[in-house]
Amino acid sequence: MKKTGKKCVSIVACTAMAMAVLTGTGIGASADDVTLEVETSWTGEQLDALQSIMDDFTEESGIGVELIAPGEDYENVMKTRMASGDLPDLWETHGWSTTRYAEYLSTVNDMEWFDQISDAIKGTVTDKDGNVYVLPLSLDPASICYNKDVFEAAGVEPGSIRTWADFEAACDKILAAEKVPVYVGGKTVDNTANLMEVIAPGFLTNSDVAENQGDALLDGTFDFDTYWTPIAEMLQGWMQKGYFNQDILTASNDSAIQALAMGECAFVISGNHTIVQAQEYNPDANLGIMAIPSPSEEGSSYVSSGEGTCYGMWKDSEHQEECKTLLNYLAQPDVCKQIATVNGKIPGLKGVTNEDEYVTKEFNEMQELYKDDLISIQYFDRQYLPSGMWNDMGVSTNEIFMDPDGDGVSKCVESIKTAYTEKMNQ
Amino acid sequence: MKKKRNYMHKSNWWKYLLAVVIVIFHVLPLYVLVVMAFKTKTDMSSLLTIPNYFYPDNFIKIFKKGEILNAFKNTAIVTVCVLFLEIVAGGLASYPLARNKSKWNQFISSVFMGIMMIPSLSILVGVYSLLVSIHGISTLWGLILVSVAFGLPMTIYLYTNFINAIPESLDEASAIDGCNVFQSFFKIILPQLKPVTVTVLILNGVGIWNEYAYGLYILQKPKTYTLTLMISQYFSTGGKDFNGAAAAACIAIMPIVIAYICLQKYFIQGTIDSAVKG
Repeated sequence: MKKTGKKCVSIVACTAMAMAVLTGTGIGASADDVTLEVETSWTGEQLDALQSIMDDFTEESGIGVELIAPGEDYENVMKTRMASGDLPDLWETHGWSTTRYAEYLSTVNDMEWFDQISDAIKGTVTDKDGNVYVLPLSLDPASICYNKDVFEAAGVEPGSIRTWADFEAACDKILAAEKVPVYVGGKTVDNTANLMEVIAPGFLTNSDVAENQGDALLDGTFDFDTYWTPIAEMLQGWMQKGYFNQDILTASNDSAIQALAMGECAFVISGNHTIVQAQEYNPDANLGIMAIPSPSEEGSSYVSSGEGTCYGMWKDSEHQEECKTLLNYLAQPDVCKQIATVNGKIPGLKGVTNEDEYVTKEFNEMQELYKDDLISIQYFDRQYLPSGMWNDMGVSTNEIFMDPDGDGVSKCVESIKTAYTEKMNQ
Repeated sequence: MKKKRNYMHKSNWWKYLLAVVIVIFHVLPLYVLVVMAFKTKTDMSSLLTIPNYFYPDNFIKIFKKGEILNAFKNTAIVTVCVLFLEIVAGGLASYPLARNKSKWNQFISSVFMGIMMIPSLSILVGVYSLLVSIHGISTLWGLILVSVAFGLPMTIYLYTNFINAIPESLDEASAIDGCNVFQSFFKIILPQLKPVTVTVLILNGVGIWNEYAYGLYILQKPKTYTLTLMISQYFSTGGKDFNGAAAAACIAIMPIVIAYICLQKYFIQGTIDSAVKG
C-alpha cells in the first residue's frame, strides 16, 4: 500500500513537471510563424474588443498577435521590462512616449499615416527634435466631469462656471442641496495628484498667466513657496468649507465614479473616460463635461489633454516590418475609431471622428459652450515637471487633506519642493 | 455539581463571545465575496446586503471564457512542483546541515537565514534578467524555479531544526544495519519528518497557490496565467469589475477550502506533532 502511494506521488509529480516543461516551451508553434507581443493596459471587455481587432489583423495579414495585459500593474511590469532590456514588440505608452519610453522606441516619422496625426495631439507626442514615436489612436482630455441632474437640482448652470470663484459658488449651492460637491477617491494618490495636474496650469503656465512660470519650472528656478502655496491654499479652503467627500483620503477611485453615476456628487475631476466608467454602473446617468475654470476673471477656461491610447514599437524588435504592418492596420480610420471609442476617448487621427459617441458629443458641446473662452494645453506634469513627479504631486497634496486646519499647506509645499529639487538634480 | 457547571458557564461567557467575534471576523470577507459574486455591476447596495434576485452571470462568464480551467491547471502544476522540489531538496540539504555541525555548515546555515531576510521583490530586476537570459519568461518552470529558490531557505531552516531533535542513534543503528547515507535519510529520517512536512505543505502550499508578485512579471502570456493572475484581469487602470473578480475568487479558493476541510485533521495533527517535537 505504501509502495503504491509512493508510486502515485512520483507519477503525479513527474506528470506535473513534464506538463510544466511542455506548457513553457510552447510545443506546437511553427518556427516560421511571427507572433508579435503587444503589451496593453486594457483588461476585461476593452481587452476583448482589442483582441477581436487583433484577430481581424491576423486573419488579414497572417501575423499573429499576443496581447499581454498586466492590468493595474502595467506600469510596474513595463519598468521591470525596461530595466531588463526585454520589451514587447509594441506597447501602449500611456502618456510617456516622448519622455520615459523614447529611448526604447523606433521613430514613426516615415510612416504613411504620419501626416494624419491630429494637430490636437501632435505637439504632445513630438519630442524637441521633432520625432514622433507612437501611433496616437486617441487623445485623452482631462477636464471636469459633472452630473447634470445634480446641477439642475442645485440650480447650477454649467456654462456659468468660468473661474474658480464661480466654481466655489456652484459648490455652495450643491452643498445646500445636500450633495457632495467634489468627490475624490484619494485612496490612490493618482486622484489627488490629478487635482494639482488640473488646477496648476491656470495659476502657473497657461498662456494667459501674467507671471508665467513655465520656464522657471523647466530650468529648476521655480519658487514653490510663492507660487505653489496659493494653489494649496485654494484646496485647503475647499476642504475647510466641506466641498470634498469626508472620506477623501480613504475613498477609492471607484467610489468616486459610483458617486458620480448615482448622483451623490456633482463633480469628479478626471479624464473624460470617467463618464464611460460611470455609465457602466448606471447606464442612465446624465453626465457632462466642463472646462477647467481659470483663477482670474481675465483668464480663459482650459482643457488639458495628452496621449490617449498610443502604440509604439520597440527599436530592437526582431520583427520591425511586422510591427509597421500592425501600426498601419491600426491607423485605418475605422480601426482607429473603434479603439478610441472603446474607452471613451477622442480619435487622434485627422478625419476620424466618433461624434455619435456620448463622451465625444458631450466634449463637443462643452467646446461649443466655451468656444470664445477656451484654450487647450498639454498635461502639466509631462510638460513642466521632471519625470517621476506624479506620485510626489499626490503625496504632497495629501498633506493638505491630512491637516487642513494646521500646517497642511506648508507641508504640501515643502514636500513637493523637496521632491522637485531632488529630481531636478538627478 | 450543577451549580459548578453554571458558574463555569457564567465565567466563560466572554470566551464564547470572543469566539463568535473571531468567527465573524474570518467569515465576513467570505460572505462579502459570495454576495458580491451574485450581484450585478450596477447594484450599488451595501456589500452585506443579499441581492433579492438570482444573478449567476458572473460565474457563467468565467466558464464561458474558459480561462479558469487553464489557470487551475497552471496553479496546480506550479504548486505541486514547487512543494515536491522544496520538500525533497530541502530535506536532503537539511540532513547534513543538522548532523554535521562543522563551521562551514554553520556558515551555510547562516547564509540560508540571511537569504530569508531579503525581500524577494528587491531583487526583481536581477531575477527577471536572469530568466530572460535562460528563456524562462512566460514559462511555468521559470516561476517554479524562482518560487523554489525563495521557499527553500525556510524549508531548510524548519527541517534542520526538526532533524536536530531526532536522536543520532537512529542514524547509527541504520548504519550498523548496512544503510548508506541516502538510505538512512530516505528510510529512517524522512518518515520522521512527516509533522514538519505538513507544516511546510501548509505554509508554502497556500503561499504558492496565492502567489502573485513574481507571477505577474514571469508569467506574461495569458496561456500561462495562474489563478491570481487571472483574477487580476478584472482590475485595470481603466476600470474594475469587482463582481466578476469576486466570482473568480470564489472559484479559485474552492479547492484550497475543500482540501483543508477534508484534510484538516491531518494538518492539525501534523502541526501539533511538529510543535511537540520541535
